Amino acid sequence: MTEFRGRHTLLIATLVVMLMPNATLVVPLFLEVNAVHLIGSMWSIILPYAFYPFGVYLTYIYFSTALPPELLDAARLDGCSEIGVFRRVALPLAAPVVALVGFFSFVANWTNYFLPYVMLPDSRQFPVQVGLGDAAERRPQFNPTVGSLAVQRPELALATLLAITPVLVVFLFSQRFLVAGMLAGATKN
Amino acid sequence: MRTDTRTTAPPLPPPAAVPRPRGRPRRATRRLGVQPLPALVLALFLVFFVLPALWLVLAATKTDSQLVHSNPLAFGSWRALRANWDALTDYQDNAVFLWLRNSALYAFLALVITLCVAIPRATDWR
Repeated sequence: MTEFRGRHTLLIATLVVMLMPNATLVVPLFLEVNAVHLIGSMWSIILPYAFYPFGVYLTYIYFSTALPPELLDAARLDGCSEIGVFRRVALPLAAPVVALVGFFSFVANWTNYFLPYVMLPDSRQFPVQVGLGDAAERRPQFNPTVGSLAVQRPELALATLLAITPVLVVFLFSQRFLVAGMLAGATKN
Repeated sequence: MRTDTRTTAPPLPPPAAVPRPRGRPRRATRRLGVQPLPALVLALFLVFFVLPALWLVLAATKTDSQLVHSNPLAFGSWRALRANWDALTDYQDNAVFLWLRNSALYAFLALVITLCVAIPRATDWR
């Protein structure tokens, strides 16, 4: 809708970030977050993962293939404002891709280990993946000096089951949207 | 969303110009038996994906020595599961639930920002 200088460069930059493995970005992200004094706050892991390049790319593909521009032009002719065009026409048609991006983003955040491991020093702030890793180091076989803080291996298995259950539930509920979303942009006529 | 492939819609009458293919209809050959290659591939995938998850579920029902010494795919006991649950929830004063809550909070906030950023930004590029 809006044309601005450098939008193609911005798209290319998004794609380049998408191609990089997450682990390569952890140290640069740590330096950036440290520069704005957010280490140890929850925003240190929410903000880096909130700008999700794969989600931007997926919605870009969806809007550029599945949504005919004539539809938006028709809405503009009928007197819709730009925000109205987005909210009344584009957004309802994009429901499958919203669900798809939401699911992938949720799973990526939920299973993220390395970034919170680096960013959060306090064990009361750990997400469950880092907590599991922390607990796994307190097995008596691994570390004989843990004493009363020891964790047995079956308890770790149980904790793992607890940690994967939310993803399973979200997947079961979003399955029909996901199947519809996977076909987004599959045909072009 | 499941599609039941066994029940099909009543077949449309064939167009007059196209002659019916001779011999057995295709569906009959497909139903004759299990095709060996797809079945084998499916079985391999089933083992590859389901077996570790099954082991994990069963491991939670065992004591630590049972986990090491008994059959990997044997069920432990409900009592051991209960004891594991109690020990896990006692661990560092309910730390597991605190961690789960943290995870949910982080994932949800990031998800909201992701959607607010990705959807309008992508519409700009069309």
